[in-house]
Amino acid sequence: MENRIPILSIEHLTTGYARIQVLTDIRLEVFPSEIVCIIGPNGAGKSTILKAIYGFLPPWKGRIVFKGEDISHLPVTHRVTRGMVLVHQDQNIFPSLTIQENLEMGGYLVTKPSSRKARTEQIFEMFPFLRAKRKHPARSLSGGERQLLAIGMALMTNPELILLDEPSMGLSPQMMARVFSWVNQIHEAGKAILMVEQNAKQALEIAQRGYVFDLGKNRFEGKAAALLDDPEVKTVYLGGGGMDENLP
Amino acid sequence: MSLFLQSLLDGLIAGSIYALFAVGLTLIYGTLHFINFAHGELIMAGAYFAYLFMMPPLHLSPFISGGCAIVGVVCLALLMDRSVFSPLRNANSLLLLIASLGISLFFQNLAQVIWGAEIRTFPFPLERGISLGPVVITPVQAWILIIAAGAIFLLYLFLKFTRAGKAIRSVSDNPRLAKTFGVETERVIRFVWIVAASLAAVGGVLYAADTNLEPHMGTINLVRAFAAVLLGGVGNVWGALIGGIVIGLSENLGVLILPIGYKDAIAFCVIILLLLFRPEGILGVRWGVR
Repeated sequence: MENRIPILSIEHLTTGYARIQVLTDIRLEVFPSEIVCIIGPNGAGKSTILKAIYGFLPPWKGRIVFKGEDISHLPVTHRVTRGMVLVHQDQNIFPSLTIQENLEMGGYLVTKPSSRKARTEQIFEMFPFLRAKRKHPARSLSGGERQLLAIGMALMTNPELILLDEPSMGLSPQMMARVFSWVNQIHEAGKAILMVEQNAKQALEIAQRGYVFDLGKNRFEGKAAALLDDPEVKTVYLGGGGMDENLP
Repeated sequence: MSLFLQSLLDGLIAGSIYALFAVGLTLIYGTLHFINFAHGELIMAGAYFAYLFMMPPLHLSPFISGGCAIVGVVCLALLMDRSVFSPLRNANSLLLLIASLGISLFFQNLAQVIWGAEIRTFPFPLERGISLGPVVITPVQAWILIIAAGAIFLLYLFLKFTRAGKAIRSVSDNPRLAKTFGVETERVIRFVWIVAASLAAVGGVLYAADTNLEPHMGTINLVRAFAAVLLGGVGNVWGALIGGIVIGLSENLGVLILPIGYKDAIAFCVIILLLLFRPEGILGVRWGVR
């Protein structure tokens, strides 16, 4: 793995909101076609790192390199066209737009109508329940269905790297298993996934590697299986759910 | 009975104009999150620009004058945004509201300086109304209905089927998510100003054709539009459309019971009652853009 070139690498990233520093000197790498999971307690800065990678927070120090290009100060649109997409943990659909329109918005930067249509068809093949309801407003979907729609929207641009923020949030155990199995299938289709999860154990079970964050700093990192077996990680960070992290 | 039907028709005509005002106001609210008090002045500017082109020395036809008025009002709205609202993009909505009130007063007075305070009318020849059974409709009124309905239909096609229209709806639904997929908010804001200003201009010209022009005509129409927006649920485009028609109908049917001097009070009463009892609107936000 070490001799491959990472698709994403975060080098000494420090950032925060307004004047409140949240992340300090973060290092992180994602290689092509792997699932990497970030775990950690509340306020560890897990969601913040995804926002920073996606360009919603400007870096104070450090660099974000995507496919060999320094994108630290480039706009969000540039990330989308280069093959990165973020799935937010909540409010990740357009409730009053129809399901089909939601998918079209996911592919907003796919300017050719014919390829947008073809992508929409592919997502409908993946999630047939979306096709059945394609003319309905997205607010008519259940929580789990919304999450799958959000993933479908993210796939519209055919990205190489998907940033997933707490995909299991607020879902029933059955729905959570369904979402995780989809994450796994998307990974098997060759996409890299960087996932933040509160349900650390289940997430590490489908991930290849993991990072443990604490108070905005790197704490542990390693193969997912090794993290699952590490006695300290086990007692401190895998001790069960806890409340949702909710930074502004 | 024929008086009732006539009032119903007049109400529908007035309401279709108010709907154009209200839809623009609610679109601006949906993307920029403030009530633009200067919306009335876009309406007024539309009417005066058309008047300017219709009168000597230009003497253009009403339709060409109306088209020129739309272009003029769109430019005015974009200028307003660039010079005042854009620098305040991240300010709170109260500040934006006060700024828009300032713009409103500025343009009311500017219009008074240019055109004077007197009431003016478009140079239309007097025409005999057409009798449709128990009701009478003048050719101008018939055109008002056709143009207003056409404008709303175009708006529907734009919002529902074009990429820019969908981008506007997505930003008013969930701005962060729209940005996530590469929608540029500033571009959407520009589109919204263009649409809202065009509707205000069309409505302003139609309103002046139905009644008359004076520099303060924007104020009462802002009140009507605001009442319509509240009726439909703030930010809801199709709610505002129906709200506008309801205000037009209630004004014209209301004066069957109330003295005619109270006509302008009806929209105010609707606002007060809605703010007291149903601030979320009668139609809610179940359908429409938001």
